[in-house]
Amino acid sequence: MRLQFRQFVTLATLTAVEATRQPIFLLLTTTCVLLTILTPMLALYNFGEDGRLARDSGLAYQFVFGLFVAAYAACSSLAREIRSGTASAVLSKPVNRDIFFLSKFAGVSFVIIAFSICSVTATLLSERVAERFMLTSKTVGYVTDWQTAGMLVASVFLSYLIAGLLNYKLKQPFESTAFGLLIVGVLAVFVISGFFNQLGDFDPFDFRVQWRILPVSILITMALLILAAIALALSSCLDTISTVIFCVAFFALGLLSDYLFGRYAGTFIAPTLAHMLLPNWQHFWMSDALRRGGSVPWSYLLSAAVYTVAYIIGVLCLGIASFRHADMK
Amino acid sequence: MSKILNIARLTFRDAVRSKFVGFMIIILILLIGILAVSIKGDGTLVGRLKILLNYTLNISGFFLGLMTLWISCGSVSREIENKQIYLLAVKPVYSAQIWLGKWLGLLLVNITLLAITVFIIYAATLWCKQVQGVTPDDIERAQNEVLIARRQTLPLAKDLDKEAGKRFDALVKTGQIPDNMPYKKTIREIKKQLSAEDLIVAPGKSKQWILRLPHIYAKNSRLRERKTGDKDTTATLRVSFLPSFRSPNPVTGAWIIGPVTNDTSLEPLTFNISEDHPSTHEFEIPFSAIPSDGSLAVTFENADRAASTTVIFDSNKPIELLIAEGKFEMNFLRTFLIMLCKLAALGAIGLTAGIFFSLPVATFSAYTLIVIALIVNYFSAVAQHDTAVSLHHSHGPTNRSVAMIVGESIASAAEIVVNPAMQFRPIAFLSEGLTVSWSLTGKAVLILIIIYCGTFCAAGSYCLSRREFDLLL
Amino acid sequence: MQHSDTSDQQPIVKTDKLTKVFRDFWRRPKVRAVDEIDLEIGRGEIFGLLGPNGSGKSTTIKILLGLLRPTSGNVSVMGSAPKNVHAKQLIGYLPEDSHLYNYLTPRETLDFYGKLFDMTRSQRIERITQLLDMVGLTHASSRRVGEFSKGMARRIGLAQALINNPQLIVLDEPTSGLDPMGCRQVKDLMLTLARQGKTVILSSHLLADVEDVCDRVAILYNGKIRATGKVNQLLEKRDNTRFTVPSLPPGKINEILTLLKDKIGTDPKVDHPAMNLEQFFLDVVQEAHRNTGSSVGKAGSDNVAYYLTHE
Repeated sequence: MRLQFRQFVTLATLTAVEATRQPIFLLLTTTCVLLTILTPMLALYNFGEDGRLARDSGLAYQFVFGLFVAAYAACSSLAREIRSGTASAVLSKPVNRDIFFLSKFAGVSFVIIAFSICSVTATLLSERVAERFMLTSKTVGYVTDWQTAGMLVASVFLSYLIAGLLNYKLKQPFESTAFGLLIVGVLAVFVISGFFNQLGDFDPFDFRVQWRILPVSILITMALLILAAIALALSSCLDTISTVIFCVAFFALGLLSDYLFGRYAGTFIAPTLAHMLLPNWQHFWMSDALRRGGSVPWSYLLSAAVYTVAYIIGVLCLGIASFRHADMK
Repeated sequence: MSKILNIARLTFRDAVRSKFVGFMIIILILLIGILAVSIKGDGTLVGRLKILLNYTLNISGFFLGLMTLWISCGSVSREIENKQIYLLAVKPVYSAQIWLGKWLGLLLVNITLLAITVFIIYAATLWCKQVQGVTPDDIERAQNEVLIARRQTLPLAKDLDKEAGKRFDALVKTGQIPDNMPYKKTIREIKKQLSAEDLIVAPGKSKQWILRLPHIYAKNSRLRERKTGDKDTTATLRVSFLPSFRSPNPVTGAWIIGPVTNDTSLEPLTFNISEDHPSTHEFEIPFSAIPSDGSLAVTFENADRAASTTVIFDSNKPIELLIAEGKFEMNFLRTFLIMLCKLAALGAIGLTAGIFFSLPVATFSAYTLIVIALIVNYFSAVAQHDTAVSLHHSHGPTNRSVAMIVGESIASAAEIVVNPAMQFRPIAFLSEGLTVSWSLTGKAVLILIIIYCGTFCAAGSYCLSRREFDLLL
Repeated sequence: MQHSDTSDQQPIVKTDKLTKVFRDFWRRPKVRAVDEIDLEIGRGEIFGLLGPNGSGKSTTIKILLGLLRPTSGNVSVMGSAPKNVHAKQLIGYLPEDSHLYNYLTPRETLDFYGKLFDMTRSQRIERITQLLDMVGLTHASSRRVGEFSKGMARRIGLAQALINNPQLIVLDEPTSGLDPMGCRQVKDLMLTLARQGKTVILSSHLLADVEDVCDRVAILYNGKIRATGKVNQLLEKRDNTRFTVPSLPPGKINEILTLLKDKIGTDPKVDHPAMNLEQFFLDVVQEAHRNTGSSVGKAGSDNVAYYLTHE
């Protein structure tokens, strides 16, 4: 059991490291963070709705870029390994196929969660940066938190710079180092921003962020994990091209599930089944709930988590069943 | 050429045998099938067909576009990654032949997929006509409004510059413009005011539009002779307006349609209306009533304040003249061709990106490029439509920073590069029953295929010939 | 087919201080894979590039084929630069791994490559049939290459390298993945081609292969040529002499030994010359083939394609 656990951890770590060494994940994460922070800075004429725009855009970026991260990480971790023969090399060792498959999911989940942490931190900060009306003893008028925005943008460049230097001096792999440093940098800016107010004055121990964004982002992360599980299960029996096409179809059908099948659910068998079995992404997109000061109740988050776990377990079981019989090259 | 065709056939065969084409066909059938069944529109057959055509073509076009970009990025980058390019590069083929062969192969894949898509959508439109509850009247309306190709003629734009100049002079004379007001900004404001005024017709007033029909409808044209020979052929004049909400009166007045010149041989047609909701009216004008010089004056005379109210016309197309000139099927064919040109251009972008980067990075860069192009196009459309955006930035005398000048130059350069490729929107025309002309199709071929694909081909082939393969040990 | 008018005297391949340096992202030199190599390979020669892994054999070959650009030095192949498309009409290349299109059948694969050389349809059909017979894959000509074993893919790789009846054939580890019969056949093929005046460049670290067929070799280490010359001369042990006679009875042997000892003063050694394992294996398989018929992977005649030997 201990050996199996060690194998699982080793393989999962390897999957995560292998994934983060591919330039695409760094590119996607960087673009997501930069877009999130630049949106409130470049936004014009939002009639005092800059905060909402920043929040909605940040969450949308997390969803869209996250989809690519999830789908690509899942495809590249299994389909490519089967194709290139690395999977057979690992499975020739005393490694159980189930553990191999589950460790792939764990590794991919790690990448998705790391990406989501980066993205949600940027969204929290972006909402804080967005122009708002302030009425204090010192200021009356619209204020944009340029200091935090500047720090966040600088942290991205700094992480690239340090990763570049480490690559130059110590030959550290650039992509994974920059990816790690980016997460550290974004979190560091978040902590530092807690010491200053929106005007840039020293005013410690108040983050001044809307924590209610967090549950919405967690829901998106859950959706991404479900998609990764689907992609992984599909890639156990299909090649990359087919996996991606099916993922796109799954995503599109899940997005339109209510419209396409929901209205016939209960009347006909096929739409009812489709509505039940397809992951309904609308349930994970709760950005609208934040309007007019609203928030997502924790009970909703809990039930979504239960649904996610159940769904992922179901999909992974199917994936394992298919992977057990998959031919290795 | 045979080498190009050989590589094209290989690319096509690869796409078919890797099951890509098969999966895409299944997904397209599912997608269109589900949409066709679930789209209801506004309840009428016309509404349903319009939305069906618009949604299915747009969604499948979008999906095909995404897939084309992705598969084209992989077409070269995967071959480099799998080192199959070694065997190709040591054979007597030029890199341009490799690029063109791949592009042509992808085009064949797209032709297959798009043809199937278009065929299913066409079948869906036929099916919509068979659905229970559809009356022969509904079908006839649909045949006349959607399943047809009608040429749209919009009124001539007024020369606002001249009028604005006149009004500016008048305002200066009366001393209503302060001296420090910049000329350009004032003129722009006056033009905005003029175009707003142009859409409003107060009670007791009238407004005239001039419609100039295309050359082929003018005298001695064979088409005109054919049309006038057919007694039933009519042109449709469609007007869109809404009444001012302040008055309880309905919009009452007369539409007078006749020649621009004092041609007494043709009697102007008059239609009286009385309407109290925002609406669109259609008047059937017999072809014989259209003057031989192809110019038509359309006048709206609003009744006086006691009987009518102020009328506000649609700013985009207050009136339009529609002439049936072709079959829906041919229109569909031209739409198909333009969509194909767009997909071909996407394929060219993906192919060239795949030469520089590995598959995921190439896909990311290609998608980013497309997103940037869409953003540029969107903002340039917004800026054109609403000068207010640009006005907002130019308070007081012009003292622009260097960054701003550089930014604006980049933006305008981007517009020059992007906008020509973005001007083709045949689906909007097709779903409204408007003609997608051959000239537009030709223009799409010229711009998208010859200019854009040509440029990407030149860049891609040059880089491919310079590229070193397998730089690792 | 277009043939260059390279005269017999003019070398087919010539390099002058050929150097290739691989650089890292920062453009700093990472590896000097090929270091000032001077080569001259003539018509009809079988030239072997030997060396341990990473010694620069494949890099040299890739430069000769125009897949990589030299960092410095000059290289000419058939009298022109390696990137020259016309020179490629006369070159055949078998890479280290076959790198074939998985979804094509052997026949389609060969037809595809054939079409890249301005060959007529009938010419292609004829050559493909001969080549498939030569590599023993006629029976598998409608299966997809993706399903093939490494050795079978290698055979198709070899066939595609010969489709244009090349004057210069570059073979990178040609026998890797092949069974001993395949190895023997490839070696025989090289000898046949050389007899036809074709030049073969062979890169391998299987010394037996090289020894069997090469006229000249160059041994590379760390990108530099450490030894070069004719194989016979390089391997000749000038301080020993061997006689080979038919099998003799023990009495006769002792008689000759005594006589020899008297003449040379030292004890001569006596043994029975052993067949090498390759020859033994081939004999066993040929015997089995005569008794039971062909195997699944490869079947067919061992004839060299007719067009390669008769112009």
